[in-house]
Amino acid sequence: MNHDLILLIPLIPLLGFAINGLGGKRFNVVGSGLIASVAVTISFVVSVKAFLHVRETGEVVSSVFEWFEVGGFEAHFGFRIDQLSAIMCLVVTGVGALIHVYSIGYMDRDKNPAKFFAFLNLFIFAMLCLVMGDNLILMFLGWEGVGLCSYLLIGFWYEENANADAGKKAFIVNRIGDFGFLLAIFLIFFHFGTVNFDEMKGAVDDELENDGYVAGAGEIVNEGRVRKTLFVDAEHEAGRETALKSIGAPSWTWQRHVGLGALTIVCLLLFVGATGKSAQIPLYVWLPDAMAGPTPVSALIHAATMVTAGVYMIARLHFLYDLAPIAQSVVLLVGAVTAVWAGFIGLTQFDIKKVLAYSTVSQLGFMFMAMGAGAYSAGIFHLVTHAFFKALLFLGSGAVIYACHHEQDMRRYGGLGKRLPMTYFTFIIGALALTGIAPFSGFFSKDEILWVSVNAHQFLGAENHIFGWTVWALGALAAVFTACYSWRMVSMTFHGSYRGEEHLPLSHVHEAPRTMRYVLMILAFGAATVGFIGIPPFIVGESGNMFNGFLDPMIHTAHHESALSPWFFMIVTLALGIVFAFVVGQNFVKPDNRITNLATTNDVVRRLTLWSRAKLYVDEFYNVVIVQPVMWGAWLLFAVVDQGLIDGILNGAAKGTELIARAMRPLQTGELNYYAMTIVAGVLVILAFIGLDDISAALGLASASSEIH
Amino acid sequence: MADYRLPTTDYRLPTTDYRLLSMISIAHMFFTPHGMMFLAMLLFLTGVYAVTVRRNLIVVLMGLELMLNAVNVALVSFNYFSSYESVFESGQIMALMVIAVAAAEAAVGLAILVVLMRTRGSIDAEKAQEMQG
Repeated sequence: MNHDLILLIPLIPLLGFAINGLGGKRFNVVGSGLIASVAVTISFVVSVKAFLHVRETGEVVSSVFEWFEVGGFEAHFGFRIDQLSAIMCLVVTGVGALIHVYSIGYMDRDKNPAKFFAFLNLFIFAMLCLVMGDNLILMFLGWEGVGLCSYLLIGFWYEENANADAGKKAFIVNRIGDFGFLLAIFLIFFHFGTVNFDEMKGAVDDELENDGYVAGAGEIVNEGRVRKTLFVDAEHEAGRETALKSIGAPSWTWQRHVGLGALTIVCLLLFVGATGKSAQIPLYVWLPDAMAGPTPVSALIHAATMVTAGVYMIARLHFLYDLAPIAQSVVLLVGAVTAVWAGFIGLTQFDIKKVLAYSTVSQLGFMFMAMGAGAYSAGIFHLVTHAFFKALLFLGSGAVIYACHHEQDMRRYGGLGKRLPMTYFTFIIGALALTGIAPFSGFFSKDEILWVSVNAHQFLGAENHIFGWTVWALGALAAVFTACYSWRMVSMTFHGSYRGEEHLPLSHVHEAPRTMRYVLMILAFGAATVGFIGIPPFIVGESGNMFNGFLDPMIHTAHHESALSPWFFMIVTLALGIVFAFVVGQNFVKPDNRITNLATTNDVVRRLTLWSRAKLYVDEFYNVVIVQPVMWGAWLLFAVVDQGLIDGILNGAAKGTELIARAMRPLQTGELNYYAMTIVAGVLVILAFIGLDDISAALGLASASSEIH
Repeated sequence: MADYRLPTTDYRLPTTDYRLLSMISIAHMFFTPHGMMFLAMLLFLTGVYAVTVRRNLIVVLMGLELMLNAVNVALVSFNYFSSYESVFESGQIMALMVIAVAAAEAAVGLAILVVLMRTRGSIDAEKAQEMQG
């Protein structure tokens, strides 16, 4: 296959963006939607071709041309399709194409569909730059590009202030993360002298081969340029090790290649970037608000693709994380805590999209758990399955919202299963996959993540056997929460009887158009079956797990050993999922159509419910601790420094000039003789300055000073 | 036809023209550096007076010419009395240049006067003072 062909994958959506963006209002929703969908579909076809090529030959397809070069720094427009980016391309373009088609139905009453589809295509382009870039600069370009598109699409209905504010919030919170990412890129360039993934990996591998560990002596030689090594030299390290061991210091202080070295800082900064884009604690707050955008946007950007960019980035740079155990522990812990945290908030939300948003944050936490545990392929596997079932759930919720005329409050739903059978059926499949019930896709991926998290036996670089179990317990709790909120959502939406009669008569509720239903069916098929590509090795053997086998050249999956059989964990998670799904799904809406109100049962439960419904007061906390001080500082700068000092100086200068000019005006009389007189007077003054003595000396007249000479 | 005959020589002593002699001697009294500077100053101040006091623009222009020529006098006389070799008639050359510039200036000035006369019917400087702050 011609390697330059892969350039089509990002460029055709860009072309679609240009056509829709420039064509403007000439297209109606079907026209612009078809242009955008066809563009992404072509990308998908080329991606499939590239994927098959990579699968058959195992070689990396790349196409590189120069972008810019400054000093020793080179940035290339280097696109590459390897095992990892092939999977990502398939997800982005495949799910993306389906969501484009769905949007044709969903946006049919919109004023400006061409703009919507132009932004969607631009997003696909940026996302493909992100996943196909072979260096950090191009990745960062895509990273910022998807952030921009996210901002534009969250605020797509910008006439309402809340939507515009949500867009701004997403953008600003993401800037914080992007700043960390940018610092990490600078550090990487400083230490490796390159930002190319292959060259970075080569440098790390050289070190490992020469010294057995990266902390060794020697220098990374890269294209003739000698770079400082990442760590201190070996002799010093060894001496330090024995000294620290002899005084009984904890292992993380002396263990080799462990410590707050440059690599750890790089990995932590990268993770800061990931927390922003992938909505992890502490920067997750933008994602629930991002639901202000149209539902297809929530499905595409805020569930399936963009928010997984952080996960993808860690997988791409896994060779760095492998050498930074402290950063790995941080990732693992943050992921696990986020999974529980967001799941807990999701339990009590009433807005159907908010539930799904917190669910997304929670599932992203699962992915980061896998990343932190070093099981990168498990994380990517969950990314893929999640893209299917979460896109399905979002589009299903979109179909419900469409049917109920943009009503999103689940308290006004109920009993829609009979009115919307197709949506109900696909939604159930999505919920089964999300809950992790065999054999739907979420089961395999979530089970694998929980299993590998038990095997995390290092905490902050030190041996720690409790850590794995702690993380597993957090993950299992998050899985229980997942089951609860998913089936609460299903129950409130589709079971019982209709509760929104005074807002919208049930007879007005009708199934979504055909394009939307077909997309739901395709995604439901994917959500049900895509898990089979990653059946755990202990069931079908190493060769049976197609997913890990395919990723193996890029990301080698280590064999995990655990004290208990993997069957144990599988059965425990499955049982938890089934039990809670059944209990909540059956009992959440009472036969008399009353929603179970946890708040009345018990004091502790009531308090927990209130905390959960208030989203754990995180927004309020940020408002007091960050937003208000920033506002005060901005006000101070505005009122005192800008308006007082700087404007004072400028206005004072202007006023002073004006005053002087006013005083000087009478001098200009317009009289010729007066001017001539002024000239003469001026000459006389100059002469006086030169000195009467010199004049008289020049004239030869006697004077006191000339006698002295 | 030209007359090629030698002139007849008059061997008589010339009669003394005392009037001329006294004029020459008075002029000779001035023909010193100080005298020439005095003369130049006199001319210059006359010019300054004309420019600064008189309203008639023709007189003003005349005053300007006087000032320029006062400078010329100074230049020429400095050159004459100078003993430095490096001077090399530069005073005279300079004076020629000043004359050329003065001619140009006079042409422009007179042209302006003509236009002024046509548009306003007057060459009084007091009548043209709209350009003021």
